[in-house]
Amino acid sequence: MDKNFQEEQFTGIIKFTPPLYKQRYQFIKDLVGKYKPKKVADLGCADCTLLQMLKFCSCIEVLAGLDICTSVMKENMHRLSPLPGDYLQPAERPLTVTLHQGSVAHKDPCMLGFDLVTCIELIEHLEQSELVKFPEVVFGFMAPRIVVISTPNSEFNALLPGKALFRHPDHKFEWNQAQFQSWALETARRYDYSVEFTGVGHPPTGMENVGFCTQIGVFVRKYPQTSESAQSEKPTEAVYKTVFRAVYPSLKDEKYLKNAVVSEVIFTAQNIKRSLLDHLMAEHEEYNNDPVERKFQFQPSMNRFSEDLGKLVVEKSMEPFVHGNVVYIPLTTIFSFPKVNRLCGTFEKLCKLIAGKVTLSSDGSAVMFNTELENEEN
Amino acid sequence: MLPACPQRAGTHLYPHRGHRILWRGRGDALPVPPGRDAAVPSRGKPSIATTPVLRPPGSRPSWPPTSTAAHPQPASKPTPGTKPVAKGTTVSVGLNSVKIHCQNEAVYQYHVTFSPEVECRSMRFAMLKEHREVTGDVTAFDGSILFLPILLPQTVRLKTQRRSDGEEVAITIQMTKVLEPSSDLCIPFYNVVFRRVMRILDLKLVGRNFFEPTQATIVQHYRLQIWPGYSVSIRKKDGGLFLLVNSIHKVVRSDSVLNVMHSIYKQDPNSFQDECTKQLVGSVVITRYNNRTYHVDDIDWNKTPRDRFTLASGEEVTFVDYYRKAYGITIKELDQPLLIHRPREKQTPAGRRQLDMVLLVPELTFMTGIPEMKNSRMLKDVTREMLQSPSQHYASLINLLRRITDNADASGELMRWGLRLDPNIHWTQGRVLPMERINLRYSSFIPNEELSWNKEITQEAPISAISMNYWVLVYPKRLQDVSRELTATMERSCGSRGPPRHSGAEGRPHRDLHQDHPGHFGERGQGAAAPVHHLRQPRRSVRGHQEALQHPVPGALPGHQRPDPHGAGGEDEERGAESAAADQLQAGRRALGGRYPPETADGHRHGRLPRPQQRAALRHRLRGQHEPHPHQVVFAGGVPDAAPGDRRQPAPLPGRCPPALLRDEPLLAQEAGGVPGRRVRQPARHCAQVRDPADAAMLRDLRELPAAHGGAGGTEAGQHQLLHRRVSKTTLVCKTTLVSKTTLVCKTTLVCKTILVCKTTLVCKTILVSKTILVCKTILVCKTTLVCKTTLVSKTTLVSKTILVSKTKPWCATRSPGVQQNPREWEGCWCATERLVLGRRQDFFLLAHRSRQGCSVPTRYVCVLNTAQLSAEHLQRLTFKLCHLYWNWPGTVRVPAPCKYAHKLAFLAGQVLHHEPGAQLRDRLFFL
Repeated sequence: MDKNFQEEQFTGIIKFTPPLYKQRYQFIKDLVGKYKPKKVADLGCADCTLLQMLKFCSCIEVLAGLDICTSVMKENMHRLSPLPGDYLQPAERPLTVTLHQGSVAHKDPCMLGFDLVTCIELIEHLEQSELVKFPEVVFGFMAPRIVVISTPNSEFNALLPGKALFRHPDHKFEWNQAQFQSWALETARRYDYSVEFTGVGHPPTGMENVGFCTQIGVFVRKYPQTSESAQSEKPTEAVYKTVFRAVYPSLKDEKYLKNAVVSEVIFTAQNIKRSLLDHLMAEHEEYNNDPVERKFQFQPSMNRFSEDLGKLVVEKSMEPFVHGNVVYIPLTTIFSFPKVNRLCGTFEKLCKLIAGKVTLSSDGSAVMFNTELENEEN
Repeated sequence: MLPACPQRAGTHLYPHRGHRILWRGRGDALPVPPGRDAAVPSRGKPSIATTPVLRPPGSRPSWPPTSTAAHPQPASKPTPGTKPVAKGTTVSVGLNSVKIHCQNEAVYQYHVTFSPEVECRSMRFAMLKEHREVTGDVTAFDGSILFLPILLPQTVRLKTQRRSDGEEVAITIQMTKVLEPSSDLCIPFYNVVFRRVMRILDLKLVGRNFFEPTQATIVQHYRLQIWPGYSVSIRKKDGGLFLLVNSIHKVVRSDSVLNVMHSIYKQDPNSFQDECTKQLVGSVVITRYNNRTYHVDDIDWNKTPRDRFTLASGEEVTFVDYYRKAYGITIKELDQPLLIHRPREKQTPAGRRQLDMVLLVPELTFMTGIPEMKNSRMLKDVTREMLQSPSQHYASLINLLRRITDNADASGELMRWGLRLDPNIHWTQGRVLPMERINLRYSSFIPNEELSWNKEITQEAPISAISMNYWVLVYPKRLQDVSRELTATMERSCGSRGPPRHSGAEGRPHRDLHQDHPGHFGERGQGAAAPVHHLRQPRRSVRGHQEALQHPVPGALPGHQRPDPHGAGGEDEERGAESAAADQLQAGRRALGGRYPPETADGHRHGRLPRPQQRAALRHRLRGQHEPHPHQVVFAGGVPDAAPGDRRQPAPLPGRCPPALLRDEPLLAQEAGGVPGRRVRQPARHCAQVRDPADAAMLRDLRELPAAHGGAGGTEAGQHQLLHRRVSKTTLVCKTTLVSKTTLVCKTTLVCKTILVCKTTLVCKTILVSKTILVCKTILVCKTTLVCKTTLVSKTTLVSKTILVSKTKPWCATRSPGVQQNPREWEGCWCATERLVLGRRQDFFLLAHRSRQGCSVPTRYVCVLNTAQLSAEHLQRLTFKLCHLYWNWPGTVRVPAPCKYAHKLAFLAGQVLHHEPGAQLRDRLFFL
């Protein structure tokens, strides 16, 4: 967290740099970086700013937002859709972003199984009745590994300009440090969580006892992952309305994986072919032979390929060769390239993925290129 | 004679909306370079023979249907601007417009004032937003003007609190206007609404258009992706609001710019930076992390992602840190150069710092657009993917409409403003124009279905031909063999085709073209020829320069010949070479001026290489290297054999002659004779005087005009001046205005009778989407041609601005009576769609050419000035005729030939000459 802030003691105006809301989001981002949760839900996501930041965190595979107000979510929700660029190089991890409309006082099965649930400046907007139900829903029902709850620190209000009762007209209450901590400790105890208190927005020097401008409680579940049976007992009636859903293209999706593999295979094969032909031409020139004679075998020299192949052991079956107008590049050679290898994992999978997309020799062991066609291109 | 809109029972399944009239003629298109318009798919060759289109099967009308049908109307003086009387068959034409029904009664415009004044626009938005319960959810607000679909009490006073200092601000909302829902003022925010609709449909905004990356076609061999998409905009037309929608594609490389750089480096490390600059600068990139497109203006080789830049907050971060923090992206390669984008200067709200430069990391950017095509196969493959037949185009438009209707959110978004899209695209009515008769010296004919009269003009005697007497062949020494071979072939081929009286060429080796003294051309010879490497643009430019400026020999340009790999060997070869030579000969013989065979026209028709080149080319192909044929042939036409005084007695020779003359003279004769369709055999006297096909066209058509007016003298001609004028905006180098004029003295009178100005406006960079304005003006007695020139020029420039603003790209397809909702290609039409354009000017759409693939995009013509009181009918037919006149293309072209000439001239002048060409050349088509 950034501790920078400017302060003019005399006027009592305190300005946080970066703005406090950004510091809160950064706090969450840091937390995500630390715990690497896969499924993250933001309760009270409002205009989805936090979700937009979190979608760039590469550990997250499921992002969910929940808010009581649809229109505020709708305003910016399209920023959560994949960008055109995402389709060009699909990420390795899958990512699904979903927005729900609903209340934190209601239980919905779509909120089960999350690793991290954030409630940034949420609880102070809750009516008393909702606040009572809130711990049961979040800690009891959702039971994520980590819960982050932030809320204004009313003790800090004295330092803020304006004499308004609360910082925002919609706030139902604002707690001081003791109130928040007692509520949090009680909740943590009841639902078997541990809690740590921190915050963002440091108080000015000399007034440290005021505490952070925003107080944050980080709750960590003490017991292990809820068992499946326990979850199935829970009510499964859906009460939330899905407002938005975006599935990002990823290599986990067969379609994109296939494209990526085929593209890589063709690219690799073309490279091999080119160096093969170059070499062959050079050789050919040397002897200045009759141009009709074209049938020969070419052994790729190690140094030619070494930069690409690394420590590859060249076996007999892995040599690319030219026969007539056709260049054959064995799939095993291509498979040995690290990029292809990483994408497919196994040789069988490689064969399966490129089936029908790449011209293979009759026995399916090599990629075929017709040099005639290729040259016309040029 | 005919009603404005003859309904043919059973032909139209949809009710006609209004009386839109289209004509149809037929023509062959020049092969056009690929692009959005021309490049439309060839899945299934559009063929009228297999598709029962608009005519009952078996009763295909002959063209012209009958001589009476094509006969001009009895000369009742047509009122200018009135819609023409239909002639020809009517057809249904689908347009890429969708009618928008406005269901609200009105849109209310309010003025919003804040007191005390609130400067910040976003704060104004926020303040007004707090009062949603008053204004409703549906608002369009720009900071001071508010549009609502609801009526508020006359004046609304609201109070709000400024967040920053808690000061109370009073908002007053006062109604200023009640607008028609289709009012022009509403269109900007309707467009915003529609963009939102497209986003709801999960279409991705790239640049200004929407695309669907999920539906991408992946061209693996070239590492490209083709995204289908739409360009949409809401426009107001005479018939109300329309959604102009077009199905388009975006080509994106799957490789990041960094990968592209790597591959460039692999090819040649020495020229790496130059090559990168060449390939990357000017392209548009999209980024991985946001939804913006950037135009690459430069590459900063000295910067790396490790360099720092200043954030808006004043903080300095490195690119690496910035992308890691903001987007969680780790830049892998730390030594890459950065791409520079310089944003165009925009009006920014005061106080905001204008970014003067945006630096982009190549690793995180992707190139869009088809990469520089060294590779014709790639081009072919990519275009194949992008081409759409009319039915596919139609299907994709309908698909979009259906998606909008089916998606409750999307249609709801439109309904908030009371807008409802018609479930179908807009259909209008067009007309097939009667065909034009083409006369040769001894015969005349109606073009065939394929609209190629190539056969006729090669077989039959032309109306006039100009003999070639003496030629000088200039070539560098190393090309001696080629030149000799060429000479021999030419002589041989001339022999076989009935040699011109004085054909012959003299080979004269020359040291180097650069030192070539222009005096060599034409000092003795009638023409000169020089082989030139076709890729060596500079050298070619030098030649053009010399020819056009220093020593105005009628210009010449290389016959662009590429090796045809399929024709390797075989008995074809000889013939090919011959025909190439013959073509050159023809070019030369058209001693009005050498010619530049238009790239569009000759392509593959031209012959093959002499053997040595072929062998060389073969060898190159074996090596897998790209080696184009190194030589081209330049002909510079010299002095015509007939002295200017002798023009009236040309000696037409058998053999090939400039087809433009062929084509235009017959028409001329035909019109002069006043009986269309009659064979007129003897137009030679006039033709002798016509030095420029464009002029000939003018002449012919001008001669037609008086007759049409019932005025005296179909044979009366005047002094005509043709003004080609085009400001070459597309050429970066210069903004030369060129006026190529031809003065033609005809028969008796010297009174300038009619001036016809053809002007083409180009939408920047997209040559294919050219809109053509045809200005037609008759000045009754005008002895000072200069005066009318200036007036015209100033008027056209003025007008052209207006034209550029209103963009309409209708897309034509006909509805077949048999297959419902299956639009198909048709070969050429006139379509006058008055209700789709703003009605102040007379305008119409003409599809004069025939595309072999994909959808046709008709050209829009706007009559800017019509003091000649020409009827629309005449204007349209006149335009269509002008489309027949491209001088070496035996078919119709997309735009009137003079416009095409003007383009070429402007291009040459802008790119190469930078000066006005020599006065001697003014009456020649030296720029072709």
